[in-house]
Formats: sequence, structure tokens, C-alpha cells
Amino acid sequence: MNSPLLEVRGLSVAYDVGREGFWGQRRTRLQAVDDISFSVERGQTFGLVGESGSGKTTTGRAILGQVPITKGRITFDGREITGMDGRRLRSMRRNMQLIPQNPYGSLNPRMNVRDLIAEPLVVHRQVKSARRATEQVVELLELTGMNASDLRKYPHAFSGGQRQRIVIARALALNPLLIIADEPVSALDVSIQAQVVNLLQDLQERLALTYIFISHDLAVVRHISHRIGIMYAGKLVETADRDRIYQNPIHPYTEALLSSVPIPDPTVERARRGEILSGEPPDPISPPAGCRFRTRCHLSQARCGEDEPPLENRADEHRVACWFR
Amino acid sequence: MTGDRPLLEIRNLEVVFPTPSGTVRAVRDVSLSVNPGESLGIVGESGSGKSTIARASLGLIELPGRIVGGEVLWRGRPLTDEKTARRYRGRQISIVSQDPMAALNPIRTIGAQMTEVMARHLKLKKQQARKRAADLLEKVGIPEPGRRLDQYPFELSGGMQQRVVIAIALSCDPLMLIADEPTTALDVTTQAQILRLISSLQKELGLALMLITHDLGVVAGACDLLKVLYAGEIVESGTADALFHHPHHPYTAALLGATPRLDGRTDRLRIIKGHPPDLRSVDAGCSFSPRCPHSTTYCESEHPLLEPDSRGGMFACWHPRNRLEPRSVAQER
Repeated sequence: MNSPLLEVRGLSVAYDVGREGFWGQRRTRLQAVDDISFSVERGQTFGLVGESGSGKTTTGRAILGQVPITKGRITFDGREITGMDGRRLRSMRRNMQLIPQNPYGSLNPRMNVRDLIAEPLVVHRQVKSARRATEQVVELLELTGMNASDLRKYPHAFSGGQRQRIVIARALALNPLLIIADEPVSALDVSIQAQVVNLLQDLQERLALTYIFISHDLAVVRHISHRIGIMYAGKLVETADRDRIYQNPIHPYTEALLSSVPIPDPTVERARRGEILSGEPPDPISPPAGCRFRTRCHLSQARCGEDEPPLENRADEHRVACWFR
Repeated sequence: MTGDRPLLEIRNLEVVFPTPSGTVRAVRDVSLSVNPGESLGIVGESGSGKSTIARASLGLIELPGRIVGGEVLWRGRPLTDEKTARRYRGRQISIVSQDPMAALNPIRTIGAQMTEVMARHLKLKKQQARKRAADLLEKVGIPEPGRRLDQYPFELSGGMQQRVVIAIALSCDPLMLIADEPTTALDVTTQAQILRLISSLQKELGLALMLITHDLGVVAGACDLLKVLYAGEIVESGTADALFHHPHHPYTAALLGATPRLDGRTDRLRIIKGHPPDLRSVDAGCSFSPRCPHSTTYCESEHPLLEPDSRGGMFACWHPRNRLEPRSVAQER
């Protein structure tokens, strides 16, 4: 099976954010994700990068079916899941799990570790007995570097990094094919962040997992991803293999993003004083016509305001949406 | 604007926070000084005591927190005395903190909040204050400053709010700016803008800067001198070049190894095993020893004190890295 595990084609998601007009007859729409396409190969990590409001979290949630999509097709493991409903969808969903950002908010404080990790097994009726469930929980705890002695403890007894291990164990309980990790290490200290990143890499290797790793942090994404997509204001502006994105970025936004990331090396930092991106992302309710990045782009010309640049293949699956690059 | 006398001097500071489950020793025996025009970076993870140092530098340790030892001096005068602190805080020494929305009053206009500070400290009349406020907004890179004065904080983006906070911090021509995680809540392109703004203002106005952060990347470009905090103590200090390129303390080295970089290697990150100690029950030995790859039984029982190195810095470790000469004082057993 060499087909990609996940294929996203022309995905759009819009939120209703209010009403306009005297009678409230017109709905105000926020186009959070607008016509994006990408695919994720089996056993690989797709890094989805963007700043706040770029639509990266919405993309993840749309794949998980947590927000209604307005347009587009999502194919998972060879089957289209958009439009699927009921029982079949539920059994597909089991194969995709989420690791959310905040390990403090995502664990019910009144459930102990055993119940937290066993919950998905029980909900999806994957275990025959309580004892079997506990056995599986112990296996999962060991897999994520925790101890069987933690079974009866409650979330408050753990540090942020340990909680994130519990969240990971819970996500692995149903033996998923795909894990969508939404900023999984952003709330953690550097020393703990490295532990969790390495754990995710180990688990990928051992369990042949596929990841979508959503993050604003280009340095972390570089360590864990095989392929990377850069989002800006609801659009995917560049996708390519990891090394191509970092060594040979083409889109001016990708370039600007890379030059904004501080490097922990004073010699490099002092030599780097290049141009930094000015201005701010556009209002998502009324984004500029044409290319959305044109209001901040140093290459912008008349054409950028007229036509929206498509995401086109330049070489070796390096896709870029820009008229002048 | 240079002189030998430090603006801010902290000597052997000890700060504790009593909690129902024991007393947290948040800052332990910390000494530092900041000279006019100097930029000092303070790096540490959560719970390392970095924000407590920032607050102590403004005389803002509030109950139940208590300073139980040492002193904090602003140009020789004690900031632990509330009356003295009040005279200098916001005027000669000001702060930019992490969350601009918490620093700004959400129900007052930006102009009102800016002129309030100037009316109090500079005794300016309303029109003068407004004019100065507009000038300051322009200086920190806010477009259409005249219009912004009548807006409320929520009408601005996070980056613009942080610029307003910086403008307020500059409103009384301070000698020193304390920036406590000033860019942590911001996106990376906005972070780059704000860091560049702080650095250029620092140079242009000859400000002393104390930049507090968990992010080694942030201090790499902005600070000449660094102090690394671990579990409430300074474990290493020195020039940015020395600490980044040849760290003596294993924690500094480990932190650098654990930080993912945009350049350099992409194989596995080096991890620091375990987690920071519980500051309610600090062990006798080196606080980092349970996590340190070079730790010996000696480290577990004997507390290393800061000692000077050959390049003008300090470190507190029995088994320092990147050193040619052996440690002078203690002999390992």
C-alpha cells in the first residue's frame, strides 16, 4: 500500500461569526481555511506551520470531523470520509487521534490515570473486561515512559511533561494510524519539550504511526517532520520536503518566517540582521483580494491583487503559491 | 551615559513563598548588577525564579512572598523600602511583561493610560502629555498615533498592544527597562519586530536592559551578558559568546542541546532527563545533580558555590565543562 494515508483536496472551512444588516439577514463568514490540498504519506510526519489565525488548527479539526467543512474532500486510508456518516465514520475515526496543546485542560481532573487511558477503549468497546483494560493501560504507560505505579494517581500529581505522556498514551489506546498533534510541546519547558519530541519520534518508529504535527515553532517542526506545509491567512502557500523548505524556501512568506526565528547562537544572530517582515496578517473576515500575503510582501505587483496564485509544483513536489517566485 | 556605578544591584537575594504544603524557596542567594547602558539576559525555565527577580527589581514582592535575605538597590537606595521603590518605579526603572492585555486597562483609552503616567511622574499638562504620548507611539512604530490615542486596547493586535506597553514604559525617560518574557505571547514574525524594537531603543536611548526569557534564541541576539538560572539559583554567568559557545555548567550545555535549531543538526534532540526539583525541599547538594550526566556522589552532598572563571564569568559546578585547568578549590573524592 503505497498510496498516501491521508489526502486533503480543496478543503475549505468557514465559521459564522455574527450577522450583518438591520435585520441580521446577512451572515458574517470567517473563512478559516480556504481551498487547501495536501497529502500525508504513511509512517511520515507532515508539519503544518503557521502563525495564529493561519488556519492550521482548523485544518486539523476538519480532518478529525470536529468542525463542518464547507467544501473539499478528505480521503483516509483509501476511503473518502467526507460525507460518510454513522457507524462507518465512527470506526474510521478510531484510526485518527488528537494530541491537544494544553495537557492541563485535556485531562479530566477527577479521573485517575487508569480511567483516563482506558476511557477510549471502553467507549469504543475494544476490551472485554476491566482487568484486560488495566493490562492494556499498563502497556501504554510503559510505552510512553511512565510507570504502572502511576495507575491510581490523578492528573494534578503530574508535571506538564508527564501529563502530556498520559495524553499520548490515551491517544495511542485505540491503535490509531494517524495522530494529529496540535502544538503538543508548546506549553512545555525546553528540557521537557525535547523529551516529548523524542518520545513522539520513537513511537512513530515502533508503531509505524503517521503524524500531522501542527506548530508555530519552525525549529521543532524541522526536527520531527518529513514534509512541511506553510499556512498563511487560511491558505497553504508552500509545501515541500523538510530540507527543501529550510534550505531553499521559495515563497516570500516562508522566507520571512524563517528569518524571524531567533537562533540560539550569538555569532549567527549578529550576522543575521536581514530584513524582517513588517505589518500584520490581514483581517480574516475580509482578506485582501488576490494573494493574501501581498499586503506585506516586498515582491507585490498589480497582478497579485487581481488573481490568486495557485499552489503549483515547481520541482520534486515542491509546491508554491506565488506569481513572482 | 556610562559610569562605573551600577544602576541596579541585587546582593544575596533570598525570596520565599509560604504555601500550605511548605515554603517555596523561589530565589536563593542571587546577586547581580546592571550598569548603565548594559544589556543583561536572564535565562531560565518555569520555576527558576526569573520573574521573581524581575519583581524584586521593581520592589514588587508582595505577600505572601517575602524577601528573607539580601538587598535590592537602585543607585544605592533600597528598593525593599516601599517609599523608595514608589519614587523610582515606572519613572527611572520600568517593566514590559509577557501579556500586554494584562498590563493595559481594557476599559480606558490608550491615550488616557499613557497620559496618566506622565501626569503623575512628570507633572505634565493634558495637552503636553497628549503630544508626548503621540510622539512615543510613533517612536515605537505605531502608525497613525493620533488616532490610536482614542482607541481601546482590544482594538489593537497583540503586537501593537505590546508596542503601547513599551511606549508607556518609556514615557518618563527611564534609565532601565526590565523586559519579562516580552515576546512569549506573540507570533514569531511579531516577536522579531518587538525584539528589534527593544534592541534599537536600548541603543538609541542608552537604556540598561534586563531581558528575562526561557528562550535562548531571544537572548542570543539581544544581550551581551547572560545569567542562567536553575531552581532559584544562578548557575552560570558570563558573556553571551562564552556561554553559548563554551558553557562551563552542564545545565547550560544541556539546555543548548535540548533547544531545537533552525540551522544545524536534525537528528535527535539531546534531552535533560527528569524534571526540576521541588523548591519546598531543596537538597544539600547541587540542585542539578539528579539530572546531570556528570554528577557524582560528591555533587549530591556538597553545594557548589559560584566561582569566577578565567574569562570574567562565574559558574557553580564541581565538574565544569570546557575548561582546561582543573577546578581549584575542591578536590573530588
